[in-house]
Amino acid sequence: MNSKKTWIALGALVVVLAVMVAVFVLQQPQAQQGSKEITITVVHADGTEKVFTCRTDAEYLDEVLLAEGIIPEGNIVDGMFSIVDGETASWEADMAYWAFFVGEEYAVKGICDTYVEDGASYKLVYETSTYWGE
Amino acid sequence: MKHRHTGENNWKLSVREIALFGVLGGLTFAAKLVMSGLPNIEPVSLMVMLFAVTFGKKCVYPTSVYVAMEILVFGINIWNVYYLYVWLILALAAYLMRKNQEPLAWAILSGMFGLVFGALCGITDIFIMGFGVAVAKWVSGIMFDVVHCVANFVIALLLFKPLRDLMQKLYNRI
Repeated sequence: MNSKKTWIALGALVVVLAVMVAVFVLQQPQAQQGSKEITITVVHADGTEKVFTCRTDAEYLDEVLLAEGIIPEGNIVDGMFSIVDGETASWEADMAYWAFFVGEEYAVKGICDTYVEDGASYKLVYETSTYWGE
Repeated sequence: MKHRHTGENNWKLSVREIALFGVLGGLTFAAKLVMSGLPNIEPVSLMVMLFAVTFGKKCVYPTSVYVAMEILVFGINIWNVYYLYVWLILALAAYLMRKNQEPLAWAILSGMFGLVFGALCGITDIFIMGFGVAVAKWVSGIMFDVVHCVANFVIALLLFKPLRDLMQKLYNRI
């Protein structure tokens, strides 16, 4: 038969155990938001704009676009993509494409080569070509 | 249970005790190695408590043999300093409650030792690494202490009493 002191000691052990687990849990680093905040604007075929503001640690923009679901997984092939925010730009059908801007400047690199910079804004605009040929 | 080796106020060793304590220290080390694949589940706490209740002050000898083997095999590091006092603290606690026969009480002692093991090591860390680092190191290892606590509790609850009786019986024979 265990004495009263033993039961009290068992209670103390459980209390210390619970306190330590609580300390451990409270000291765990919180899920960190990304260190860079960027804005991505999508301009659809009908002219409507949708703005995505996101925090990220990603190095290149394609990672953010995929992570945010702006471009669906598997749609980027060799830096080329056709679906943005659920809308498909088909070159074959409509001579349509997604124009990519960094700020207000037409990008000189593709999304896979564009380094994500804190505070930057990017734009993907549905455009159609009126010129095709020689 | 009475035994021939009162030992309470006597640090002198017989030849048989020298052999026995050497073997027990080595066995403790070997048992720990066998269980080393299980994180923080170890037989050393149980053995040290058994040494304390069976050999009294002389528990320092087999415990020291164990610590010496650890250092000889694994080399010099900060944990050497931890080992110079943590096991003796457990031995002292066990010695002080040696009259207690309740398996649950021994499980609690062993569990509590496992739980505060990291904190006891942290005492040395404060002097070597500074208070902030010592606390951070302790906090990061709390879940290991929790595992240590639960494992020690279960091991002692199941094995302390039968092994205590057995060790006392064997010690009386030499």
